[in-house]
Amino acid sequence: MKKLFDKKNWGTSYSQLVWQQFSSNYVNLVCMWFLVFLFTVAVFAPFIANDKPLVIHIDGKVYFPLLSSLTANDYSVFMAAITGVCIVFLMRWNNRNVDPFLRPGVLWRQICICLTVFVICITSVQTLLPRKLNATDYKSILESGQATDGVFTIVPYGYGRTELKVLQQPPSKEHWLGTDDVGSDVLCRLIHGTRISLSVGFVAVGISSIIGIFVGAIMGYFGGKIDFLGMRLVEIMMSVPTFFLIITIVAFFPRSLFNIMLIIGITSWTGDARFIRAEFFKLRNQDFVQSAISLGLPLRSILFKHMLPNGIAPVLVNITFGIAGAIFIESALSFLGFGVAPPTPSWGQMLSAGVSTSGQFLWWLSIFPGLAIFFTVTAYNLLGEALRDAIDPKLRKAI
Amino acid sequence: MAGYLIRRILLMIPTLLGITVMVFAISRAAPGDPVSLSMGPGGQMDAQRAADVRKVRMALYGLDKPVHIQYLNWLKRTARLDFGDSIKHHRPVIDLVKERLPITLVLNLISLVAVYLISIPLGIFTAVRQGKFFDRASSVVLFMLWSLPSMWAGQMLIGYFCGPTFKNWFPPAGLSSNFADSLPFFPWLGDRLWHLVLPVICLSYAELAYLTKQVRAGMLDNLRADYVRTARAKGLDNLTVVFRHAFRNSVIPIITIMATLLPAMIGGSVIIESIFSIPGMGRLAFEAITTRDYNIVMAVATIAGFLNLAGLLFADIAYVIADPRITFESIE
Repeated sequence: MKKLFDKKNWGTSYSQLVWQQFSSNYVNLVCMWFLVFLFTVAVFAPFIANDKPLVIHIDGKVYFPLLSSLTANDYSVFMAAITGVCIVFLMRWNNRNVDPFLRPGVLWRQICICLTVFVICITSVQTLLPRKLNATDYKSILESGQATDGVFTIVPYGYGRTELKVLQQPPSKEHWLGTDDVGSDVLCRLIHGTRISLSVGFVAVGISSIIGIFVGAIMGYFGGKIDFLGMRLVEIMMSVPTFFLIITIVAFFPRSLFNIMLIIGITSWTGDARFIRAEFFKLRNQDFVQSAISLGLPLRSILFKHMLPNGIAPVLVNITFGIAGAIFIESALSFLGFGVAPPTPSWGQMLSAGVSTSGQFLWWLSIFPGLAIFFTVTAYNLLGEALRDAIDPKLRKAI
Repeated sequence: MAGYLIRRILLMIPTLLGITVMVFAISRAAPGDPVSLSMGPGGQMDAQRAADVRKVRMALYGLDKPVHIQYLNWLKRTARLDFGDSIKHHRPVIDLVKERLPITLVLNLISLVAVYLISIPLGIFTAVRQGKFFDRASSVVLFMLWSLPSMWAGQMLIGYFCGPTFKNWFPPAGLSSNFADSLPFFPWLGDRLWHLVLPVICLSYAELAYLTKQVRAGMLDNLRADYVRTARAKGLDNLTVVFRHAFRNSVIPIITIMATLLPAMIGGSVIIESIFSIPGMGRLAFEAITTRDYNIVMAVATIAGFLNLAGLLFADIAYVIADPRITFESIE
């Protein structure tokens, strides 16, 4: 037993091989770090672009308007980010320091501890913070001399504000990327729009891969009639033009961000289902699955604990491409006006303001959101290609 | 061959029925029904009278029957190509579709032909010169084109090439100029093509990038194959080896890709048609959605699904024609 725990004898695992292959190309690493940067921006958006100051002195008292204006939405984003960071870093730490038999339980407990610490911290900070201020325009308060020492964030504008003084201005010193048709700062809206785009990508693909994995697993495991019926369903889903189906559903149901995520998820699961089905066909007859069946394990354990980890690789690649696709579809929907409602910033919706109602072409309203969509989609696509090559070069043809 | 085609078309029927069930289910699962929409929020009528009117109207539209009967009725009408009337245009939907569908089809066909005409030579050329500067440069450019959002590309093209601000080379919208109807044939054709340049570019560049990548990959596989080495060893010249040996074997995946390109393009034409204000099916669907013209939306979804299936069938037939080793019996 002692020999097993000696790290030298662990050898190179499959994921380490994939990582070696993946990191051998610097383009992949650039893409990865770009996405990490985007995620950081998305998580800390209120701290980068906000019209509320971090600190302000009013009548000799110190206030923290930004901290007290954070919403439940912001906190849930923070919690999700903490969970994600915990999973990535603690898993690597655990791989080095915890022996393999204890890892899953340890990780679960570590995440719970981190989240509890975070919740305790924010509740104590929120209760210790001084009373909330009911001001909306801190800049005019500062100018009028009622307050002193206001410290603003890097981009001191809010995304939902209407400033009639600065309608459709090209980039300047005050507004680095210009202002849009209601006078909001473009850079600020871009930063807050990162959240929408990234979360649409993740949630939509999460939904589609859950459906796809579930349907594909059942089709591949049982085969026969179930497989035949399932494949007809997949065929139907594939022959409906996805974009038409999506805008049909958008036409009939109330428009909200979650509905859009759900719709994109529901209409794009066929690829995942087909990959999982093909993998499960191969795995079904292998010894470890047969022994799991003969041990009388429950179906969900056979399907998802024993078979799925061995057949997930092509789906991971498909997921990366799917995120790019979902971000693209969301921005196309928002561009056409079927996306989230206007004060909520979305890249596609910003893009649609690029041609003003009088037919004028406002280049800064077109280039910057467009570049944001383009870079994000390109990064995900490059990442997908890199993953595909790293996971299995034979897949090159399949996708 | 006839037997296969018949069987194939028969197999399309359940799929098509599935599509209609889905479209119908979406329209019924949605909150609200046409009657309450057309009656508005009400207020002037007393409740009893409103309920009576509602009942009569529900019976009029057949909405009082159980869902499956409603579906059968809808299907019966749809089979006769009767999609009901448009609420906005006060005309039968099928007439509107008859006007708009050819425009979208022509637009997509031109794009498809352009994609194939450019990407096949480009794919072959880059595969033959693998690793050279042109190959690497073109693969970077194509990758960027593949991820370029089409609405952004369209907007930038209009902004920079169709406006007074920068260059005024192309018309920003529509299919023809105002005076086009009075022109003789060739100037009319020129005017039409001049209007189509930018939409076709926007509709085809992403597919172009994708197809070129596939052609290149297929050619690379075949150029490495033993029979190509044999052909070279026989002393055949390069052109013959590339086109008669390697390329012929790379044709099959190119054809199957057509089946996936067509639906993507038809979907993409919603965006392109609304950017360039082209009165096609996509534009029709777009307007129908913004005005909640349900009959049109459902008709467009059904017809687009049908076109998709037809595209798949067409790809299968082309598949058999391209490769004599594949027979209609062996596809199944």
